[in-house]
Amino acid sequence: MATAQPSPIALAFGGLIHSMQQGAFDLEGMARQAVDAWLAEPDTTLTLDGTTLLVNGQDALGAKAKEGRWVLPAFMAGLREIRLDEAGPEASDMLRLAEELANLKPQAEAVEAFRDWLWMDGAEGFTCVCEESFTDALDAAFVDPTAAKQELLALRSEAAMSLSDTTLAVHSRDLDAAAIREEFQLPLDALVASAREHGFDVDEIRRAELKRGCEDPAFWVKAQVDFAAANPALAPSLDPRKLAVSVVQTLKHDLDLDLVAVLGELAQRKDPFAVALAAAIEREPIGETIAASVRLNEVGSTEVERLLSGDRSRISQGFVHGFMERAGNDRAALDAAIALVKKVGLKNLWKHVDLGKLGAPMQRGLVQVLPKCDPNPAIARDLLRNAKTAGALLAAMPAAALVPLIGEVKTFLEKAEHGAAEPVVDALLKGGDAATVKLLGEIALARDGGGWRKQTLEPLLKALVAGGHGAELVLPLAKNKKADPPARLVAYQALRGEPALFDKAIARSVSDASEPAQIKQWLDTVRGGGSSGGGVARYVAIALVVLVVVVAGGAFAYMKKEGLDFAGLVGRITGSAPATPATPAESAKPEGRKPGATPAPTPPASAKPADKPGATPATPAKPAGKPKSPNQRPKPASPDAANGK
Amino acid sequence: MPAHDPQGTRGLLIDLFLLMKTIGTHGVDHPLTAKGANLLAESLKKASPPIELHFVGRAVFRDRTLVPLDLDEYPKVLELSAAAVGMGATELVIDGTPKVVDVIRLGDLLAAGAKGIAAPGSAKIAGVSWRDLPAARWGRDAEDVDPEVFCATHLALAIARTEELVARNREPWNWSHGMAVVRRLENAVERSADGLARALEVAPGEWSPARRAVSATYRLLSATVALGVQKQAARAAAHALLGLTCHGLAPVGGVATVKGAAAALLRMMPAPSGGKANASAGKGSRVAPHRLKVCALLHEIAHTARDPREWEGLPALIHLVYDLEKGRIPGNVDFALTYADLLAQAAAKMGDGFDERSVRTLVYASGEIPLGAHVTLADGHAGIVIEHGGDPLRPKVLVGTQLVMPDRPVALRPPAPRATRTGTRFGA
Repeated sequence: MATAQPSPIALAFGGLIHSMQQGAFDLEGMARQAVDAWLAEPDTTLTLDGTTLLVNGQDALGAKAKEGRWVLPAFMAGLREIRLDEAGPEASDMLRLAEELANLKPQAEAVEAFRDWLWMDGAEGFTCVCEESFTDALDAAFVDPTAAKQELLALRSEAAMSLSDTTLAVHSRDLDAAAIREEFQLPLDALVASAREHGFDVDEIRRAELKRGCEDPAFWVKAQVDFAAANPALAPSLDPRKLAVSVVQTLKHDLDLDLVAVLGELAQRKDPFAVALAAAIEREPIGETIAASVRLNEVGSTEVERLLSGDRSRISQGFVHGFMERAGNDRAALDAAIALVKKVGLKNLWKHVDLGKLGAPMQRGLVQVLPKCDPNPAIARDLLRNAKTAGALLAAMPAAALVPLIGEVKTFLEKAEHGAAEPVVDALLKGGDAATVKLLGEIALARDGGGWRKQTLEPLLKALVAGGHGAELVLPLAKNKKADPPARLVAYQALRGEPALFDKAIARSVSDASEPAQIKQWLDTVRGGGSSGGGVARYVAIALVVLVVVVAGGAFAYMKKEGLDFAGLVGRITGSAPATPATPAESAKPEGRKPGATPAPTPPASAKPADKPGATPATPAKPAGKPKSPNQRPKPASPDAANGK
Repeated sequence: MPAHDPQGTRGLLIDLFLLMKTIGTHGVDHPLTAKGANLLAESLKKASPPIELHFVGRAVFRDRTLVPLDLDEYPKVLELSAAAVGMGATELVIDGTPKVVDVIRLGDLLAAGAKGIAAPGSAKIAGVSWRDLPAARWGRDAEDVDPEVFCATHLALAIARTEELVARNREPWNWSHGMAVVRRLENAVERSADGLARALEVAPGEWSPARRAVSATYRLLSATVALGVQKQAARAAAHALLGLTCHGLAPVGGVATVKGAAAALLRMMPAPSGGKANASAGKGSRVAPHRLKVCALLHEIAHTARDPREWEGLPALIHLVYDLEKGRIPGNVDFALTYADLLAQAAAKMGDGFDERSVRTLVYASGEIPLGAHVTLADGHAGIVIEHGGDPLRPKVLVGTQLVMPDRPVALRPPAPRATRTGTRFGA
């Protein structure tokens, strides 16, 4: 046998045993090291061969190593191999095994006790392969096989005698027996007949079913819990952790819905072991394991329904979270999730959701499930209470789902402090539809835009304008003197998206005087230097009209006074006025006139805003000349002009 | 720390080893040999003859007690053991104090045995006797043991242990003995399931409650093995059934399953599980998983509100097997039924009195024509089923002293009355 480097596992394990024998401290630390060393090479098997410990066929420790002194008595007890079982040991399991081996003496009683302990699965976390112990072998050695063989020979002779009709003595008692035998004959015939018709065939499927019936994990868990409940004095001696671990292992391999049902019942029980087991199970990812393993066509089963109908537990929560996560990643699972929610009711599902642990995949699943279910105001409230995480959930929900909940959302937003509401608004704005956006606008308006930061308000108001709600919702906010100026300014800015509305918003009015300074200043900026060219032109046009009216009025008054007609007035102006006053009809024809040179008047406050904001102002027009009234009589001309020369 | 050895057996064995090696190297006439022989003679005196040594497997026993050996001693004693087996002295008895010349003779025979040379039949040493125990080769050396013998041996031991368990029904349950019974049956099934079935069914002798308890436990084990049931569950069920049958079966008939389970549980509960030498025992530490499972299973059976006909899974199987063995001794006849009869009754009540799946499981495990069944061949000859064939309806049949392979299906027939021979109880 080749001698290789000492195995770290064998050294750690043997060292722990040796230390235990020496009464060392920090055994738990050593046990943990041994576990870690083994878990680093989980397929390693320790093989015992007399006084030698082998790992992969190699001497694991070297000759007479102190770490290997435990091997011989263990070998005497029949132990041949040690390896990790599927669940693997904890430090406490390693300590227990080490303690057994440390205390093991190469004496009959100790060897037998250790063998029994192994056989009773005392070495939890390990798989121990055993052969006959030395003492078992000795017992068997003293049964005389010759006698056994002789008895078999006797059997043959006896069989030959008893079945031979010629040697069988018939007595009355035997006649009675013969009569009774007929009763036995009928079942025997039936047995053979059934056998001939393949009545007892066991194919692979049936065999698996029968095997499962014997192994039934739900039965074993319940039986052990019931037994512990009936014997509370045993509770301190029973370790629920191991049972919990075995439950997880079972569920991983083959999800047994009966076991799920038992776990659900367990969670409701009050007896100490059940409580301890439930607590131990709570620490294991059982719910998540069930969610990952359950067959989709079994999701709607009675057992799952019962799990969800009960109070919230770690298991139920783990299941809902895990399954929603699965639904978020898999279309088929999503359909199953929707069917499940419809069956158990959203309320029953929701009570197991912990929004504080909402991961992205689970959100994805929930977001797609929720709209397919009858919405529930309590759920909306729950989401709103967890606005930071639930905002995205709310937002991701289609409007059709949100609309029934909108009352709750609105109430929340109306009352929520900023910081709480904003994530909801942001999310709703990002993902919401027009109706939702409008609703947010109504809320913002109702709050006078107060309490929401610019980063939240601005995109909302712009969206409202773009959605055609500028006049209804944004303009009033902009003009609302009760609203905070910053919010109003944001509203004004948003209105730029619709120029007509913007112009209307910034148009002068008599109430300008009572505007807060910030607003006034902004408006001045926008109006004064900021009107569009079109707006300025308008102002000029209005000024011209006014001028014309004034001039015409003046000319008319002059014509009347002088008794001139229009031609006379023209003549007087041009210096070629006819003497005779013109007929009113002739003097009524207007003449084109050039714009006067008078400075353009200041446009009135009620003038309409410019079409194009920000356009460079036009050079003010020369003031128009006095308008001439068509009825104004021209100044009397010189006599020669009047005589037509 | 060397194990306690007040009788000095270890020293004796080492000196015997040294003498064997000295003679093997230097021969019988060498001065070293004389010296070694003197040392051995002294050791023999100190060891307080008579000394009965057994070299079994890879261990040595004195007066049927394992000799504690340490790491240094063990390889030497192992070599000595191999030599003894080679010599043909699996059992070595030393009466009195042999003379030095006799001691040298013994050493010489052992040295020859180390080379695989058996002691001649005529060899005699005053004060020393030896014999070979054919069944003493176990474990790795067991391949050459006849499976029939192996199964018959283990079965006998299992029944003997069960007799003790039945007899001491006022004492707490001896878990070690109970596990030993299940363990032996497991080993026997593994070695030769047919051999065990044959030994159990066809061996002559009365069907005592102990034998029927072992039979029931075997049937359950063989069913779980056939199905591939997880070992932990299978063992727990077998042990629970053993307890149930030990308390429930009477020489004729027995009590109801529920009552038997309750009685077994009552006895098993207060009993310590691992024995005194076990480090975990008696420290208030954890109940071993196996014990918890056994008790839980019995508790479930004893306290169920449902009718046994409605049971499923292991409780149903346990109930079926127990009920069948209960009926093995019908009260109104003087013979015991065969397993085939019991199986036929089960089949007749399948779905009504017994869970259908459980009956199917038993038939699957044992075959429709179980071993030990009395059958009639197509040509009219009667025989006993000894071995399964390829066709479950055409097993190998013992007809008289001949083993026959029928070419047509056999027919089951009820058992004939047996002559009960006192003093020939199986295993006694």
